[in-house]
Amino acid sequence: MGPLRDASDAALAVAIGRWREDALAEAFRRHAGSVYALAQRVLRDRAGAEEIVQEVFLRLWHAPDRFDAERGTMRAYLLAQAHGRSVDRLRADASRRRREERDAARTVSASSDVEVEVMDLTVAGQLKEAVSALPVEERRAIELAYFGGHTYREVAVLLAAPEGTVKSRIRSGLKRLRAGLTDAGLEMVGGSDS
Amino acid sequence: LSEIDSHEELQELLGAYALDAVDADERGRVEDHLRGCARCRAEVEQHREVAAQLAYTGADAPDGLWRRIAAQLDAAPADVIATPGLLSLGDLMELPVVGHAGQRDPPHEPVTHPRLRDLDRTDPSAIFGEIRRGDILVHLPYHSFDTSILRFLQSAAADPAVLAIKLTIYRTGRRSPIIQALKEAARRGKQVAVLVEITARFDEAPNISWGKELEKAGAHVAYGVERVKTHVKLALVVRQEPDGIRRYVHVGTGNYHEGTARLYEDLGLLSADPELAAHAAAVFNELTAGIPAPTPGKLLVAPHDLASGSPH
Repeated sequence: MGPLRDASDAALAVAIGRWREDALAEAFRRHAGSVYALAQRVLRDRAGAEEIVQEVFLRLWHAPDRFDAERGTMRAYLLAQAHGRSVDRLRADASRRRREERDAARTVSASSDVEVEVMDLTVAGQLKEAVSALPVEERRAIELAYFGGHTYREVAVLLAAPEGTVKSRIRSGLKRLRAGLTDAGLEMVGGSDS
Repeated sequence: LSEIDSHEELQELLGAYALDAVDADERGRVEDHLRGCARCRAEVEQHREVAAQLAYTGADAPDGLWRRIAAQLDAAPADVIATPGLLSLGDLMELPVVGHAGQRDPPHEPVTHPRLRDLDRTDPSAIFGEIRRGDILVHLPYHSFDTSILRFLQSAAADPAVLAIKLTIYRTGRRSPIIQALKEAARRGKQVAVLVEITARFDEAPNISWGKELEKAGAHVAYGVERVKTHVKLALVVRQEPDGIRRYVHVGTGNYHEGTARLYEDLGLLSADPELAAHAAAVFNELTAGIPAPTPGKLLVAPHDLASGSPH
């Protein structure tokens, strides 16, 4: 058994593939906090978020080859899994309807209340800077989609903006954030920039 | 040209897609596109990395969660079976997807069969006129499936003179344009009869769902023939013409699947030969209604007379 604390994502995935429980424990140590926090934020339900964490790590245990280190970080992979599962659950859930009604009412009363999904609750440093440099419309669109679990069409309704505009804002906002994070000295992986 | 349009259009969706903020239909469209577009795949991965940064938190997962996961990992020795190879052929499908760009062949562009090249695109009856002039042998994947067999079926769906379409489906693509064409034909009041093979390996579940879709549109669907796997690739189009009813046949070695038609080498014959068409109609009657087709006939049909009628 080699030291796993310093193992790369790829090495960790290989060890998990060999049924090494300590490798999964290391992946959990590194990423479970974020996975839980994201699921909790989307679902606003602690028990549901814990189930998502279990699902995501058990899937990593049973199918570690689904994570491809050439294509991105394990962190992004696990969070994308957790996000997709949370959103599926949300959309299938009856509580969804209640939330939508609440959100719609909020938009009518005061559109600025939508900022309840603020990002700066948990972030620090470079990220905060990059986020605050974002035009507010892009930031809101991303917040509502990513943390609110809304489709861009729903976001368009919430923000009273055209669907096409919201679609573009999400994309341009993510690109701007990436540039901002890179400028702030954060090494961004995943897909070549060329 | 439409592929360029859809790339531009789908590109705009990539941010929302990466955040799971698209509806199921759009998700399917984006994923279809991603399979063939490395640039868009890379962009999605970049967006996901950014999103992962947004989800940053210094906090740990709740206490006890790891222990609950760890309790589910244990496998008794009896549960573990070591195997030297792959568990299923499906595993091989994953192989070429990763990297090795330099070892891939350049994309193959199929050409339109010369007999079909100058047909009026807006005229659904044009392909039938060309088939009447003489049989057309299509050689896939060198000839385009879209401008030959798919066009044959789409024309049949659109052509007001067509009364009936019969087809066997063994395997077809997701959101298949063939299924769309058949649904369209049924909606226009044409008789549509389809034999769906439900034991097609890897495709059992989708085949049942297409079957249901077609039935909803008004098609007559038969689900396989008991105790035989229906592997025949046969299509029959019945047309009302000035001099009476005429039947058109496609008989081929390849599935009605626009995806595999770009990969697999297959032959397909488009014909208005009355004897061939009459026998094809009889084969359909056997497949969908259990009325035995006459043997021998112009077609050799297994399990009746394919073996005995083949050269040894």
